[in-house]
This record gives sequence, structure tokens and C-alpha cells, in this order.
Amino acid sequence: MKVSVLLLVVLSTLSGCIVTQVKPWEHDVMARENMQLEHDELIDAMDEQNYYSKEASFGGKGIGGGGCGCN
Amino acid sequence: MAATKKNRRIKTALSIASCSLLNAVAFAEPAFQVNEVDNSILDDTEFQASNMLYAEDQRVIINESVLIAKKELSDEEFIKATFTADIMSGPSPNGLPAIKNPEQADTFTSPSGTIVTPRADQEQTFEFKDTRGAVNLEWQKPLSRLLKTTSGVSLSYEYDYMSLGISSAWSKDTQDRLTTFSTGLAFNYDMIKPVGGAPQPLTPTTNEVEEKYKDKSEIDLLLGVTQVLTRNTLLQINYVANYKTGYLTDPYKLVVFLKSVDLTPVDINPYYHEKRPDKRVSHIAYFNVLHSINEDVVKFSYRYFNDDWGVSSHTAETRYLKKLNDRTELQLKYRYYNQQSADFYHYHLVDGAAPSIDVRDIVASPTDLKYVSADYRLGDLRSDTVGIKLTRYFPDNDARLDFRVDRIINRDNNKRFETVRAWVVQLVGKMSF
Repeated sequence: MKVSVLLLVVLSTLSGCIVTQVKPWEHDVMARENMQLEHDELIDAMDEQNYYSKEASFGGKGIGGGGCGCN
Repeated sequence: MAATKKNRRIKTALSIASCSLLNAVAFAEPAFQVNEVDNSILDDTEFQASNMLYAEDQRVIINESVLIAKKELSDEEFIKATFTADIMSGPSPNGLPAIKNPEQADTFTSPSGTIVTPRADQEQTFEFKDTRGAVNLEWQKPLSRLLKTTSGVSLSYEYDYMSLGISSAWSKDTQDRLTTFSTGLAFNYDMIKPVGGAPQPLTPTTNEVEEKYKDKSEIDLLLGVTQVLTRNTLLQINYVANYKTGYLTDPYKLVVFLKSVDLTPVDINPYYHEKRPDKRVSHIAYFNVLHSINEDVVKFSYRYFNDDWGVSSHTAETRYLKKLNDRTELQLKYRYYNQQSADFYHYHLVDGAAPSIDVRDIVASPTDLKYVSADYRLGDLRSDTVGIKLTRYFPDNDARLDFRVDRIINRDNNKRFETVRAWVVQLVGKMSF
């Protein structure tokens, strides 16, 4: 828990330091399909399911979605 | 309504105009496609279909088919339905290692009713066959220009398992649209009906079953922020807390009790049912960066996982998307995963010390332990994945096709359980109207 909070604080601070002002007319790169967080939505979802059923760790990208009795 | 429709068209036009700065030919054509099918019932609908094969060498094979239908209702408002069907089969490890002199131990019936005959040459497995059907519904709705909410329900059904879930998430953009704050809550209720009943934990396999049905529930809390760092760089940071309570034991997993001298079974029935705590609290920190280099993209993510079972892990993944031409993209992936075992993980239990035996595996009797599991997924696990994906865009039809192949290798950091190797092959098609 402590490590997670510390990590978040460090990363948030770091991101605050390196943010540069991006003008509205400079959002073209962010609008590109391959720059979207959900670019590989279905592949990512299936990977999550595969790793969830084969490792003791899970989650991080989002919440919900349902469980399974994975073997 | 007319104004909303107009706004949507303006937004579509602006998006296309932005993209066309980079790719004038490929992205200009869909503007005409949108207008052509404007009166169709499929207008503003997107479909995705996928088939994935997950195949472990000599073990489990899973075939998963998914269909997603997403209907845009108005600007930033949509409903999405996901239908999943899985077919799973093959031998799955039951926690028992290869043992010497297996003839000294009797055959036994696993909780699923399978007769298991211990073998000397390899880890013990049980054959299983199951199907799973799942439905997820999601509704995203903007509450204001900068605030939107997403609600979801999910249902998953297997022969011996059923899961019900609800979730709600909110995200808020800042005025400059460079920062998004997110939060969400999810609740899941699972019912487990082990084949043959749930066994009495920490007892030999011959014992009677404890109960027919078991259940568990879990809650997720998410806090996240997404920040546009520069024109080319996007950062995402999430914190997720997960709380599980109820039947967290695996009814199909066993642990063996051996003599220390030569690792032969202590008696004729040395197989005990595992037991895990009935509560688990996990914390997850997730960090994700996307950086564009010309038209290529580099993605890097890191996850730290920690829970009160003693499990902690580091996951790092990097992807490189290379644009080969206007319509084709290649992606290379590497994922590293390293896990420290749960406090109650034992490869096997041993009656007395021996030079090669891990000290914590030594017990006078399995019933002396509060919790025990020999499930390799709770062990000191290292996993590596390499993958390649090819994407083909069809801008004339606002469609896209993805094909990927991954190779996963799971191994024991202590070189005790057998290495598991798996192939993942997946084809995904996406089309918008």
C-alpha cells in the first residue's frame, strides 16, 4: 500500500514537472487511432483474462467485467 | 436533437480533418461513407468480432469468440453489448508434483470426479472440459461538456461457476482537455458449484464434501488520471484497490505430503485439499505512457501489485507500433512479469528436514497449517510474452483487421514446477457504419 501511494505521488509530481502547454490545434496526434488508450480494446481484454487465470496478480487498467472459474 | 446530430457531424468532420493532416488520402474517404448510410438503422453503429485460440503445450486449450456491438446515441453517448463464448478443455495441473515411488500411493478421485493415477515422470493433472458464456452491457452518457459517466452490468456462466457484476465510473476533463480525472466502483458476486461438491479443506482426498455451493464477492475502487504531457506524449496513472471475501479456495487443487528421505508419499493417501484465506485485499498501481514518433507509436506500461496474501509482482510491457504504409501497421510486444509467492504457497509438504527441501515446506502434519496451496499460480512465477500483430486498415469501409500471435512462457523462479508454454493466436475484425 505504502509503495503504491509513494509511486503515485512520485509519478504525479514527475508528470506535473514535464507537462508542456499543448494548444488546441496541436491535438492532431492525440486524435490518431493508434494513440487511443482503447486502440486494442478486444485484444487487451482477452490478454487480461488470460493473465488473470494464469498469474496471482490482476487489474490496473480498469474495473468490472466479470469473473471466471479459471483453470 | 437536431443540434446534437449537427454537433456530432461537426465533431466527425473535425476529427477527420485532424487525421487528414497526417494521412490525407486514407482518412478523407469515410466522410462520404458516413453520409451515404446516414438513414440506415446501422448508422453510428460499430461491430467488432474476434476469435482467439489459447493453447498450452500438452495442457489447456481455450477457444474464445467475442462479438461487440456499439451504438452511438448522441455526442459521446453510447451503449455497448459484448457477447463472449469460451470452450475450454485439456489437462490442468492439480498442484501435485512428480513424486518418486508413486506405486506406494493409491489412485484417488479428484473433486471433479476424475480418477487420478499418480505418475513419477511429470506433474499431476486432471482433465476438464467446460464452456463459458458471458454478456456485458455498458452505457456511457455525458452529464455535462466535461463530465461523463459509464455504467455496466455483466453476467458470466460456466457449468460450475456463475458471476454477476455491476460497475459505475466517472471521468472529468479539465477545460483545456489535457487532463482527465477518473474514478470508478465495481461490485461482483460469484457463485461456485464445484463438480462433486466443495471438499473439506486441509483433509485427505477421501473425505466427504463440505457443501455443494460456495460464494464470494469483491469490490474494486479505481482512481486515475490521464495527462497529455506534450503534443506527442500521453500519460495514464491508475490506482486500483480490490477487496475479495468468501470462498477463495480452489476446489480442484491439492497438495501432497511426502517423506523427507526420498520424497515418497508418507502413506497410502497423502493428498490433501488446499485452503486459502477467505479475505484478500490487493493494491495495484498502473502507469502507462504512449509516445508518438512521426507516425509510429511506442507504448510502455508498468504495474506494481501487492496483496495481504504476501503476493507482490512487477509487470512491465512495451509495444512498438510501426506504420508500414498508409493501410498497414506492425506491432511488436514484450511483456515481463515477476511474482513473489503467497505466504501459504508450498510446492509440497514434507515430514522432516532434508538438504534440498525449502524450510517452510517442512511440517509434522498438513493439518498444522492454517492455509496451504500448491497451485503454481501462487508460486514464485516468472512470465515472459513476446508478440507480433499486424493491422490492416480499410478506410473505404471504415473497417480494420488485426491478427496477432503471442508466445507466453511461465516458469518457476525456483526451478521446481514445470515450465508452461502457450501460444495465443487471435483475429479481430472491426467495422463502423
